[in-house]
Amino acid sequence: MGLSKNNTDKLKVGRRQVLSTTAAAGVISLFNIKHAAFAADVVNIGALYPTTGSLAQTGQGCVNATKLAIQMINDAGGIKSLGGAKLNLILSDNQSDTTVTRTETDRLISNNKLSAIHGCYASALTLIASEVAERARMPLLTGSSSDQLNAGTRHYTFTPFARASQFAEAQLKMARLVSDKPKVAVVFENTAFGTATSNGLREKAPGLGVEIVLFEPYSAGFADASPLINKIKASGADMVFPVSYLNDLILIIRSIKQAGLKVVINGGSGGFVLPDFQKSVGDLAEGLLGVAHWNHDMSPATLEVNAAYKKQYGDFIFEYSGGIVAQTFMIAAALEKAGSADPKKVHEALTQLEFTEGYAAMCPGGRVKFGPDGKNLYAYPVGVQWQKGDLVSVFPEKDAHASLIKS
Amino acid sequence: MSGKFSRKTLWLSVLFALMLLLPQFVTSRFYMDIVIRVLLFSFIGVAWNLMGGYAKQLSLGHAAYFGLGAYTSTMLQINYGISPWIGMIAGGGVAMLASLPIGALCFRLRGPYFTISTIAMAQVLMLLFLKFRDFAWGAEGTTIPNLGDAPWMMQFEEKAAYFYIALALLVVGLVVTWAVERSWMGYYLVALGEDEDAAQAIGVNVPKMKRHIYLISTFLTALAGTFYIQYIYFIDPPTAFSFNISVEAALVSIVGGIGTLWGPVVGTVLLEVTSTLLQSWLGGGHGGVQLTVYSLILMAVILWRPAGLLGLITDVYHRIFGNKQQSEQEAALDG
Amino acid sequence: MLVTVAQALINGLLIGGIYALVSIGVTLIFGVVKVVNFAQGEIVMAGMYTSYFCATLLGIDPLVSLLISMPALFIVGVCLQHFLIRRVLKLGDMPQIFLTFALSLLLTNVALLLFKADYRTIQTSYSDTAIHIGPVYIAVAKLIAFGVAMLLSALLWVFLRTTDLGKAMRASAQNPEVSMLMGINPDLVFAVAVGLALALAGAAGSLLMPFYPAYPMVGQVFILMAFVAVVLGTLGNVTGALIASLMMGVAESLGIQFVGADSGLIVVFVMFLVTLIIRPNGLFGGKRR
Repeated sequence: MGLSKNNTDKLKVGRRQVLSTTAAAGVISLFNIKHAAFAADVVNIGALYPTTGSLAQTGQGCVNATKLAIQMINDAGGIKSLGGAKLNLILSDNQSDTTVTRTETDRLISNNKLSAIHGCYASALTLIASEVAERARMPLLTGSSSDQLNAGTRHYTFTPFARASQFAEAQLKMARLVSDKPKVAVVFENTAFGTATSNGLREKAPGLGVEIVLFEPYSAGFADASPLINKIKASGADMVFPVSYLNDLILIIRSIKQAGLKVVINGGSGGFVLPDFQKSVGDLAEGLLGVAHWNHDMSPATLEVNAAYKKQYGDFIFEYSGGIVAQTFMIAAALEKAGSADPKKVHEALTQLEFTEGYAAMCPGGRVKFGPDGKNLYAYPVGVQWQKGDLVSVFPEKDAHASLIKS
Repeated sequence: MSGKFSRKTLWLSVLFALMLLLPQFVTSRFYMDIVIRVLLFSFIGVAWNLMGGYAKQLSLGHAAYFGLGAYTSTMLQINYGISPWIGMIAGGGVAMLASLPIGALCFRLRGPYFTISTIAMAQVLMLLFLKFRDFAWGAEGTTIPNLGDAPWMMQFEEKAAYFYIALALLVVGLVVTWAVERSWMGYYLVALGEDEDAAQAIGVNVPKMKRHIYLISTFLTALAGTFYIQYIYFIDPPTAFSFNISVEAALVSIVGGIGTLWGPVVGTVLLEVTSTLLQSWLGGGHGGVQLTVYSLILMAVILWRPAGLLGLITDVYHRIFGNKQQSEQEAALDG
Repeated sequence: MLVTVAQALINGLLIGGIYALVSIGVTLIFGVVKVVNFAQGEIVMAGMYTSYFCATLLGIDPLVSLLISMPALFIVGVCLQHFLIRRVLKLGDMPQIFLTFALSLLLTNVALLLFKADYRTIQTSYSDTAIHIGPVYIAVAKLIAFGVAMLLSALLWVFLRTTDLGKAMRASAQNPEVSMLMGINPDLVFAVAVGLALALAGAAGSLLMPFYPAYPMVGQVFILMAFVAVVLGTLGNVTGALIASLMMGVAESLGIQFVGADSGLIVVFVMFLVTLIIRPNGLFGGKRR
């Protein structure tokens, strides 16, 4: 998909302003938070991410992306159908904690006149926020991958990106690209994210000609990965799929190296697609495969966003953060169509709209249309590989930015 | 004596009437949420205090019973369509049953040994619920089905309903504590808390006392578990068996004043309100500030008011009303 | 099969050495001062950050920065004892546990404020290398950590048994009243004990740094295991904590190998609870309560 010239120009203006206002940004956003409820010409968007607790690091990345997206939209003139109303971000820290998420979502929605919210990175947290949002009839957009988010009677939860079950299929297909008869060890953290993703792998492996020789949940946050690696070694696997957040993943990768184990590694999503993963393990990342619901080199639009993000925050924009930028543009487009800040109107617009261009369509395949269960009908994940310190898209071919290197 | 008694009764009646009318004044869902949390954690604190405060058995594993209560009612609801109102009582029963073998084991230990063994127990339960995925949804957990306004299934559109449930729980907890405090059991427990061996020597059946108070304490804690899960709509092992629940239960009692009727309530009001307000003022982009302040308050209370803040409040009250005799009476109970 | 078991034993012993440094600190403080320090894990975290910044800012190898983190945390320990713990000594279990718990909360969140939640690693020449002996391997960084941990434990043992201060410490541990009558200054003894305990935790941090990422919450990974080891080895018993830690490491590793990677802790806890049924005061506690 292409990016209209119009959009590019807007972004360039945006970036210049980004530079000039970076220093003042913090002050301004504080000011806005205090007075948002009284100003008539702003539209409030709520964002719930963990900036403290165990997920604080990625949560901070999510907040950064949210700020960038809001700034891009405001610099481009805000919501035109609302007289150029600016978007105002109301941030909330759910402390990586389920209880706090419940309270904070409620507080966010009832204390502010919001038009939509998005969050929360971890699936378990998003599930709670979505239950609260559902009862408050507040549209919630999320990049979290748990299939449970589309189940049941939810009407207000929208998931623009690939589901956990779809990640598995992509991972298995990539395994077949590397080897004819792959013998895979699946080791996954015993959390909502880990079990959801690994269940998909187990179900789909036989149909796609992949043999799973070890299927092992582990307690997240271990002191030592080597017992787990010992187990992988004993299973005779030639390929490992770890489903892990950053800390465990760093230990797994390092311990595989220490053990001298020669295996192909597909790190899936989670911690694997974060810039810090590469920084932490250095050269060991080279050639490792993964899967993501978003990547910064998928399209010209994502490359633009990545450049702006990199300028402001130093690292490339990772999967979940990139998805947040797209989601924020989807909310903006829905506001534009609704011509109202009423969350019910925004919800209606989201169910009707189809996004095929611009930043809102930054999704593998470049097309977003929500089905009745809130799932994007056209979503699928993109296969990625660490090449020369960068995470590049390598699968499927139509989204590939570079070709897959077989080690 | 009767004058004092009636004044105390008067204050309590006024307080209770105000609480009943509270939803009329507090319309913000945010403030209502704080009040509900205060009531709930006060209740958990009160339940813990029976064990930890009166019998001085420092358990940091009450999350085990909180979680068992929560899982029992949720499994009954989702697998068999049984109302959480019934599930709540069933959960209490399961917790009491579980408390017998767990108590039999942990009560053999004393001091820090006891404390650490209770932590381990709650952890083991959490790990088992994580491990056996087919038993109860494993790590993925489950959300409580949204039924709209369904009072029979403990689901309400209005926060006020949750408020009244939490208030009722707290009243039950306080009445139970009040009754225990004034029964022979209360005196035995205080004696046991002072010195186990001495209590045993003067004829208190220490193991039986511990077992009985543990049954009451765990039953109440399990009720809180059911309510909590119905309130947050979601259950998974780390939430239901959260170490934070165990800590908070003990913490509010310690900050307020252990072994006192109102201590856990006073502690919760202070801690929950500070924590929630800090979160609301600072939330977003200030990672760490809130919990830093929270921990500083905690340290300050422990260093300067180790008997808890309730004593401070009653001191002030009696200084204003000049009632020295009662103050001494309270102090004796506190000790 | 034999190779797998041998490897599991090696892995367990190596990580057990790290658990030992943490748990010996906990047990030393308990033995002498009679306070369970819930913040010991956060001291490990402080040691890790010390070594991290020594490596990134000054280019000092983490093993060398042991010589910085240990004295620095010794001083922190003396201050901790003097300004905080000393004031709650007469107040009983609860305020003590919750004071150290609040301290743990404080340290984690101050670290979060100062360093953010980033995972910080350092790459040393020996970080990812291993010695291969036939079919089994020993990771170099972990072997060094294990060796230094055993050396420090041995030094502590010698200190407790041969120096006057060490003997005073053991006397205080066994009977505080009598030792005070004998003219031992409890303030000094207590301060040194807490200082040494924190220095050991700091050493654990420095030794972990070459192969384990530092982040504000890292202390929680090690503290629970350390507690179990401390109780199992009988609170206050340094040798007991050391042996129990190694046992914990091996039990965890074998549990992961033969029961399941999500069951390492279950195996450890079950072992712990069973031991306590048989010996309520830990393995080295005898019948005395």
